[in-house]
Amino acid sequence: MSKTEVMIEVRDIYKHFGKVKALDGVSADIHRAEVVVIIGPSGSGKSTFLRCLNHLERIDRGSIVIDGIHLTDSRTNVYKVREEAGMVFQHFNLFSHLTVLENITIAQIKVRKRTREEAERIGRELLERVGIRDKENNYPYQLSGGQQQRVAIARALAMQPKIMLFDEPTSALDPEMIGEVLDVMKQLAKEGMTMVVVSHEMGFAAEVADRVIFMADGKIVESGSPRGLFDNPKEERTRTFLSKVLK
Amino acid sequence: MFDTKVIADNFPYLLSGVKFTVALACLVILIGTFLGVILGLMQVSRSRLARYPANLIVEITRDTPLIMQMFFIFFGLPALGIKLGTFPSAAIAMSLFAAGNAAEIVRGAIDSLPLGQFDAAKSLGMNYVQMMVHIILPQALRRMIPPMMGLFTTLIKDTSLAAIIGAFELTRAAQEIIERTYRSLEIYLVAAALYFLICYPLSYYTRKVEQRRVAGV
Amino acid sequence: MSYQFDPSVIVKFFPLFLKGVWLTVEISFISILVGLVFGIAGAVARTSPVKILRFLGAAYVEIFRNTPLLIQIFIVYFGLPELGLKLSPYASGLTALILYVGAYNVEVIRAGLEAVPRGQKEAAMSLGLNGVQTFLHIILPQTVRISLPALGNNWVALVKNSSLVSVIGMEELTFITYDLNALTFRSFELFGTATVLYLVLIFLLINIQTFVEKRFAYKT
Repeated sequence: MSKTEVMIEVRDIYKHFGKVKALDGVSADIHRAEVVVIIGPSGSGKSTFLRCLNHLERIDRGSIVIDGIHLTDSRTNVYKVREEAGMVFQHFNLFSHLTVLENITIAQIKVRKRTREEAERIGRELLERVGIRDKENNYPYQLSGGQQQRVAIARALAMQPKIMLFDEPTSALDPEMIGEVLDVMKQLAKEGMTMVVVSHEMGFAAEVADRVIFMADGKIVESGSPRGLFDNPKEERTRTFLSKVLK
Repeated sequence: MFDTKVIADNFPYLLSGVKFTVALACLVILIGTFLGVILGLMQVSRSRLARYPANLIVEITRDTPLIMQMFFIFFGLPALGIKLGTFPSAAIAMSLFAAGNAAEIVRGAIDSLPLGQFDAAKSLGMNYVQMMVHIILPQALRRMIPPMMGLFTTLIKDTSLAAIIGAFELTRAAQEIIERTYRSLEIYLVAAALYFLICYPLSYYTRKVEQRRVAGV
Repeated sequence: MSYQFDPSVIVKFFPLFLKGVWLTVEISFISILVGLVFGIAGAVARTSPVKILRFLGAAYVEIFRNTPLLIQIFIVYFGLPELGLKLSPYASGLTALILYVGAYNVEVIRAGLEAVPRGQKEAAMSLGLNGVQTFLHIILPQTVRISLPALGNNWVALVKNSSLVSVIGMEELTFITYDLNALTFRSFELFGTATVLYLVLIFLLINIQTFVEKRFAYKT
């Protein structure tokens, strides 16, 4: 399990929405099997950064290379890149007209071109892994928030991506359900998945992250090991943020 | 003073008008929905080449009176050398009108879906067509049904305008009877009742569908 | 046979067009205002504890929404004289339009009434306002504000529907256009102009609606 191979290489990316500078010169390297947690105040650009990684947002300037593929190259097949990067959203975004199992199989069948039998087999294994095998024929609205998010994780994993991106996966959950989702994410980390997580869950970061990045105003202010960043923040801005969050 | 005999005598003739009303409405609904879905999809497309013409057609058919559009087709086409009868003219005008309104319903339904659905589909690697066919349209369909049913009811009522350019349907039948018998109140009331009998069940059913949909989600 | 496009027709008859536009605006405006009163009355009836009022309100709405406006116009103009009530084209057209838009307004206002928070009424009552005062000064203004977007849609529809009163001889925009076409046969130029004029009217109306909404409307 080599941690030195760079999976995602981000160089000097800029992104603005109208007059607002969401990303103001961001560079980062994310290594294979590394778990990176990004923290920061709202409006810091952390979600935008994440969404640029799977091309849900297009950068104005700079370069992003994922596993050797240049995202900004016009010849790049964006859809292929998206297959390799799985995303889990704050509001789950499960497909309301499909059952749990269908949610997990639809992209496998249509995009990865697997057979229904194979897709369902993989789907059921994943549902088992996230702990909700018995809900496979239910519809999303019948599930609790925590259950829906776990289905969302399984749906993304079913594409067997090389990296998993999490955009505030527990922010929309009731407190008692946060644990079950974090457990799944911790297990994923243990199994060696490369993960980039935008989150407010400092406990998760401290326990599982290899690196924590603090962003503010579209820039990376500081980054380091969790213990290092939380206990001895070098920058004033980091200190201010942490003091408010880590009471 | 209310002359029920004239109603009884001419009821069959009114019914013969109803046949054309229903036929026109069904024809227009079918063509209009088909064209409307295409226009609606063009309106939400990323390509300006698709959006601009579609928006133009939709704006014109939605923001001008139907009777004006009928006159345009009925009087304007012969000037280009295309001679159409009253019924086809009415059908064409109403189909375009229906298409514009249907397109707006389709566009509204798609726009009402949470952006997250588009994000999730894209993040799973789906291309535009896959996303629309498997994720967006199936969910948009549920939201389209109540307003589309409302449109159908409106179209059935609007077939009455065809009488103005002389096409034969229920209103024209009523007018012809009145020309002979001069009993405007009785005949128009019966005609109104016939329209009511067709439209009310549709409105009622539309409301039920709307309530069920709200409860189910 | 090739068609010779002749824009001079538009220029020549533009004053007549404007006369038609003016009448369209006039009858639309009156119908919108009076139709609002009907809408409020009908909505009050539909939400009344008195069963017969509820039935009458519902009957009003269902009858006028499930029958064509054209037939309603004919009944008012051609049918009522049989009962001894002979109205001018102007009065007939207005009556029919008001009743029609009123019925659609009822449903919109009813929804608006139900959207006003219950606490408003309780607060007003506890301050000593009686039922009528509460309704007029507290409930109704909020209802109208909430209903403004949907009411605006009804108004746009009304302007389009006003074209139908041309069939009983009212000289609004559609009548003028039809008449001029019978005179000159320049269908494209005439109906094209009328189309543009309606588009401009509707566009203006939508913008007014947006402006009014921004200033007065709010969502609960």
